[in-house]
Amino acid sequence: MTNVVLENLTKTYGQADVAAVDNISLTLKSGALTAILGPSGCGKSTILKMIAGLLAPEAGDIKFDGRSVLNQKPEQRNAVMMFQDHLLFPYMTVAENIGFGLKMQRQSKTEIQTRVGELMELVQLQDLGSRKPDALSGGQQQRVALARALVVKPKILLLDEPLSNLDAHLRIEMRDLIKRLQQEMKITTLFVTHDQEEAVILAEEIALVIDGRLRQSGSAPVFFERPKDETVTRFFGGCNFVDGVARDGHFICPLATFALPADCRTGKGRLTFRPENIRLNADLSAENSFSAILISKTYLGTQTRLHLAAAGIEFEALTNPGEAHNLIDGAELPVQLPKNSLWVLG
Amino acid sequence: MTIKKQGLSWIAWLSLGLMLTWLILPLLPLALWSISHRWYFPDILPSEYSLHAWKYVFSDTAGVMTALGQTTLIALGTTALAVLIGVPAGRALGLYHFKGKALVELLILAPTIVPGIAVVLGIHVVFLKLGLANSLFGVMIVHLIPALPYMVLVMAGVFANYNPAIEAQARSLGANPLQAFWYVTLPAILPGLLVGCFFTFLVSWSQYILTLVIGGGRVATLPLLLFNFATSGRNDITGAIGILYILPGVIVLVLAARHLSGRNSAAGSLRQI
Repeated sequence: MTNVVLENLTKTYGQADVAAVDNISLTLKSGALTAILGPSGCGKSTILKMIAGLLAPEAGDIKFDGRSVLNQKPEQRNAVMMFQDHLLFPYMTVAENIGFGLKMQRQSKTEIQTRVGELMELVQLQDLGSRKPDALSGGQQQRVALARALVVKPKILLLDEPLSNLDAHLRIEMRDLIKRLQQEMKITTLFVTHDQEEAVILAEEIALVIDGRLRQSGSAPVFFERPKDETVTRFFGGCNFVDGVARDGHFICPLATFALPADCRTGKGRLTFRPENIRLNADLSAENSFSAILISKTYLGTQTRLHLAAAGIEFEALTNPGEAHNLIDGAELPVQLPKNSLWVLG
Repeated sequence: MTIKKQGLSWIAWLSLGLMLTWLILPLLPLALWSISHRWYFPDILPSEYSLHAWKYVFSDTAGVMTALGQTTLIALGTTALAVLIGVPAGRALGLYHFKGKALVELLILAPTIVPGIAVVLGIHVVFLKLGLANSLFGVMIVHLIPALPYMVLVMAGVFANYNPAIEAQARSLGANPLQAFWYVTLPAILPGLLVGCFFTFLVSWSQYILTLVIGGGRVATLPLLLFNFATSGRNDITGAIGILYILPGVIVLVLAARHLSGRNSAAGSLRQI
């Protein structure tokens, strides 16, 4: 259980004017899994490398349990990184790979053997200890890499997109394994991903980083219900924005006048509501309801996306395919935006 | 399938035969000369045999053994120096892109194109001033000129297919830079490094003109002795020294074949067929 704090972390590559990591401050909850979420190439991996000591930040500080680690070399930090490619050592067996960290610590052979055995059991590879990495499947390789990282009981485990090279079913298996082991061992973990769903399922806390800057951090529901701005909203699949004015607990816009939740801002703003929260076939006399026209629909398999318009404003709703089946393009639909599903952006 | 197998086997035997003809047959006269006492034209085989040449070669007074030792020492020293310079240089060329890389590559390649005899006199002047002439160390240094390109080019090829992130992984798991090199980098580059060492060793082993000029007669190596005896008409002694001279080449060839073809030795792959 290590408390890890990033303070005003900044890193620029080469002579580029744009910082890869721009003044990021973040407190990682001790013993919890935090996800850094962001599009590819937004500087997420750079943050991990700086914590691991593989890159030096230009400015800012990194503290483990209140103490700066900037002057510590990678091998002194016990901040173990697990890369996207498993990066197993090809000339060593599975057991030797897993025991590598302990060997570097000059642990006794029996101690290494015991610990490696424990870890192999945890990742369900107990029979493969004498194999070489190239004789394993992709999922097994990734599990060996995880065991190799966990064996040294790291102060912080740094996972750099560990699931993105795996097939869909393996990804779920590995994701659950990471979550289970992390919770059992209570290792402070930082998980980097571009996959919003992965972050939501795995992480206690999410930090959304776009273009090297921290946009918003918090638990998963915050990003869906209380996003900070339009970029954050869009990253989490929000697509409905209506300009207007919020006043006295109501939002006045061409669609209608909507009752707002109490914690919304007032003044000029942008109303946002998630497509899955729109109620169709509502009672038009109910609160926050109005009439919309169905422009088109897109079948998504488990859901159907409806493209709607009202008062010249287009928006989208998600509904189950069975309900959408009977709807005809051009039909008039009574829709309702439940009060608690509304949010106003600045 | 069986037809294909038979065809392969037939080609394998033919190429083995051709290889033996080209590699072994030219050595036969050498071996014969070394044990001949009288061998005059037009006899196909010597009329009298003796071990005189071999006794001479192994005697303390002839200096052949000293030359063998010095040649080995110089070749090993040159190889060690080439490793120290060639591995970092190859890493830089294989992994990184930098300004003037093409020029650096050309300059590294240049000694393999420019003949040694064209530059050795100029180098001699410089070496005299530096106090490197007439010494074993000076000869090792000058042997680096033709030998180093092979090491650098082999290592550049090795590092072009190398992912340095694996070292970062080792560091993050608690390895210091030395441990990361020893446990992770070295095993990955070892096959290529050995091939580079073989090349370097052989190039140094077979130097004549550079050794002659820079060694200034104080450093006697096998090629120098070989040349002396060959020009003075002692074919029997030339034959014996010649055999000694090609020995490391043959050993290296077998070893290199093992490493060039991965895990399987040449003999092993023949057996598989």
